[in-house]
Amino acid sequence: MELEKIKRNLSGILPLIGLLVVFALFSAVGGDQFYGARNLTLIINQCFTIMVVAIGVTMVHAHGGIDFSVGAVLALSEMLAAMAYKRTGSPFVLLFVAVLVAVLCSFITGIITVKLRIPPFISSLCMQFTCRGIVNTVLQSKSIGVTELHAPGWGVRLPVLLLLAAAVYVILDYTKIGKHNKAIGENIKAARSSGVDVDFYRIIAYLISGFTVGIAAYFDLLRNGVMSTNVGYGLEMKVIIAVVLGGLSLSGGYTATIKSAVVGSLLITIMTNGLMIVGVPVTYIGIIQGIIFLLVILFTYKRDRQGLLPR
Amino acid sequence: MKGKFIALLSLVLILAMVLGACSSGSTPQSPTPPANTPAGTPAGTPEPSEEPVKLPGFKIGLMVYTNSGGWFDRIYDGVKALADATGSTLVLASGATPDEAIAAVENLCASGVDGILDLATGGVSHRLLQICEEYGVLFAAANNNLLQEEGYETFRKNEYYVGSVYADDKQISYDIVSDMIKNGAKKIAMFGLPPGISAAFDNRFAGAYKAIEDAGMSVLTEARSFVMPEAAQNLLTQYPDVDAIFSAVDASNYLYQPLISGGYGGKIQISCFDDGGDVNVGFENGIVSHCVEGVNAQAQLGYILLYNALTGNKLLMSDGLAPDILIPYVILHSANEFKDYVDRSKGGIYSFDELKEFIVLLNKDASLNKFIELAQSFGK
Repeated sequence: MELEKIKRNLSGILPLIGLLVVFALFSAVGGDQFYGARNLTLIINQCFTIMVVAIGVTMVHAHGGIDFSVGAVLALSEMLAAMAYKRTGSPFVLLFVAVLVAVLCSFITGIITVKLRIPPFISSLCMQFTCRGIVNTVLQSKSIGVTELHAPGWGVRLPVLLLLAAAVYVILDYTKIGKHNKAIGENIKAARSSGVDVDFYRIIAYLISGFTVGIAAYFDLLRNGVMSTNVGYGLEMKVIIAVVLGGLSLSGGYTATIKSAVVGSLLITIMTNGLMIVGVPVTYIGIIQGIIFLLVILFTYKRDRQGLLPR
Repeated sequence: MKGKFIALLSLVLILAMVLGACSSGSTPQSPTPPANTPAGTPAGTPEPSEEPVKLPGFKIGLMVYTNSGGWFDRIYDGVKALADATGSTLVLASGATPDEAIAAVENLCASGVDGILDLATGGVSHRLLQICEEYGVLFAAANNNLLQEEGYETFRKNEYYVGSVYADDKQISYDIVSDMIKNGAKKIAMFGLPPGISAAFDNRFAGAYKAIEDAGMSVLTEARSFVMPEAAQNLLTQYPDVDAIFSAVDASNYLYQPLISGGYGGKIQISCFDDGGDVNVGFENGIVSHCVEGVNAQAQLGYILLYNALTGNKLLMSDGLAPDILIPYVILHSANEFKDYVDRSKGGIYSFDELKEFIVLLNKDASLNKFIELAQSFGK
C-alpha cells in the first residue's frame, strides 16, 4: 500500500521532474546559449500560443472531451480579427473580435457535442473543416497584414499567461465548474445521478477553452504580423501532445490540472529549442522527440484507464 | 505534502527562469552587420600575392520546408558543396507555417548562426528580418517571391537583408499548360494542395488557369486536397478521360502508380514541380511531360549573396538596396534530361569554380550585373 502510494505520488510529479531534467541537461550542454536571458525569453514566446490554448483545453479534457478544432478556430479568429482591424484601425477591436469568434465557435462545438450527442472527436473535426473552409474561401490565396502593430514582448505575455493560468487553476480546482467537469470526466453517469447538470458544465468548459483560443489568436496574429491560410495548422496535435506529456489523461477526471498544460507546453518547446542549440541535426530531432515522448507516456500514463481516447 | 513539494518545485523552476531572464542588465544592442565595402575594394583583401586567399568560414542556417527527399537532397548537395569550399558549416531547419518559420529562425539565431538562407519563409519575411536584426544575423531567401509579401518595401531596406533569388511560378505554369494545349490536351485537371498553403503553389495555379482561359477552354476539375493520394484516385475515377493534369507539386508519390496501372501511358500529359521521387519512372512510362527544376540553383546563388554579405562585401543594386534576382526554371521533358539534371546536381548544379568569381574576397571585380546575367541564363 505504501509502495502504491509512493508510485501514485511519483507519477504525478514525473512530468515536472522530466522538465527539470531536460532543462538541466540542455543547460549543461548548451551553456548560457540555452539558459541565457535571451533564449529563455524566446522559449516563453514560442510556447505562449500552445500553453494558452492548452490551459483552456484542459477544461474540455477535464470532462473527457477533446477538441481538434483549436487550430482552425485560431485561424478563423485571426482572419476575422485582422479584417475588423483593417476596417476600424483599432487594436481593441482586433482583440475583441478574436475572442468573440473563438468563443462563438467553441460554443457551437459544445452545443453540437452536448445537445446533439455527437462524439466530441467528430464534432470538433467538423468545426475544424468548417473553419478551415471559411478561411480558405474568404482569403483564397491572399494574406492580411498587420505589420504596423508591434508584437507585445514578454513583459506583456508573461503576466497574461500567469493571469490565465491562475484563473483557470482557480476555476478548475476551486469552483463548481471545475469540480463538476472533473466529476463528469471520472464518471458521467455518477455525476448525472448526483444531480450535476452535465450538459451545462460541459458547455461552460468549451466557452472557457474558446476564450483562451481567442487570446492566443490575438497574440499569435501580432507575433506573425500576417494572417494567411496556413496559420494554426497542426496546433491541435501540439496541444494534445503537450497536455498528455504534462500528465493529463485524455479520458478526463481528476488528472486534469493546469500543471499538465504548463509543463507539457514548456517541455515540447524546450526540447525543440534545446536540440537545435546543442547542434542536433534537424533530421534527428523528430526521432529523439518521439522517443522521449514515448518514455514520458510510459511512465506517466495511467494504464488502468480504459483507452487513450476520450468518450 | 506532495502538493507542497510540487508547488515548491514549480516555484523554483519559475524563479529560475525569471531570474535567468532578468539576469542581463540591459537589452543587448543589435550587433551591427559587417561593414559593407564596394565590390571593387573588398574588406581585408591582402596585398596581391601568390598565396591563395583563405576564405573565412561561417555558421549558416539553411531552412527548407522539408528535410528529406530527392528535391531536398539536390538543394542540400549544392549548398553543402559551397559551404565546404568556403569553410562554412550548415545547420538545417524546417518550417512550413508562419509559426514554424518564426520559431525555426529564432532557434537558428539562438544557436549562433551568422546567416540564414531561407527557402521557406512562410509569408512572414518581415518578422523573420526583425528577429535576424535582433540577433545580428544576415538573411537571404530563395525559392520565395518576397516582392509579393507583406511589408516588402520596409524589410528590403533592412541592412540585415542581403537579397533573394526566385523564379516566376506564374509564368512557368502558364508556359507548361500552353505547351500541353499545343500538344493536344483538351481536358486539363488541376492537382495539388488547397489554396493558401504557399504563395508559390497559388501562383502556379494562377498561371495555369490563365493559360487555359487564354486558350478559350475551361478546367476539367480541381483536385486540391491535403490527402493527395485520395484526391488523385478520385480524380481518375471521376474523370477517366482526363488527358492532362497540371500538378503544382510533386506528382511521383500520388499520380504515377494509378496512372500507370490505369494504362494511361502515352495518353496523358502531367507536370510536376520540386519532385523528390523517381521522375524517371514517370517519363519512361509516358506519364510525365514536364518536370520543373531549378530550386537548387536558386539556393546556390542565394548562398553566394549571403556569403559575400557575411564577409562584408554585400552585392548591392545601384540604389544601394539588396537585389531580388529573378531566375528562370528549367523544364525537363524526358528521362534522359531528368537523369542528366540529377547527375549534374550532385555536388551542386553550379560548381564552385563557376561561382567563385562572384565571391568578392576571391575576385575584387565581382559584379552583381554579371551575377544577375548568370542567374538569368540558367537552363539556357
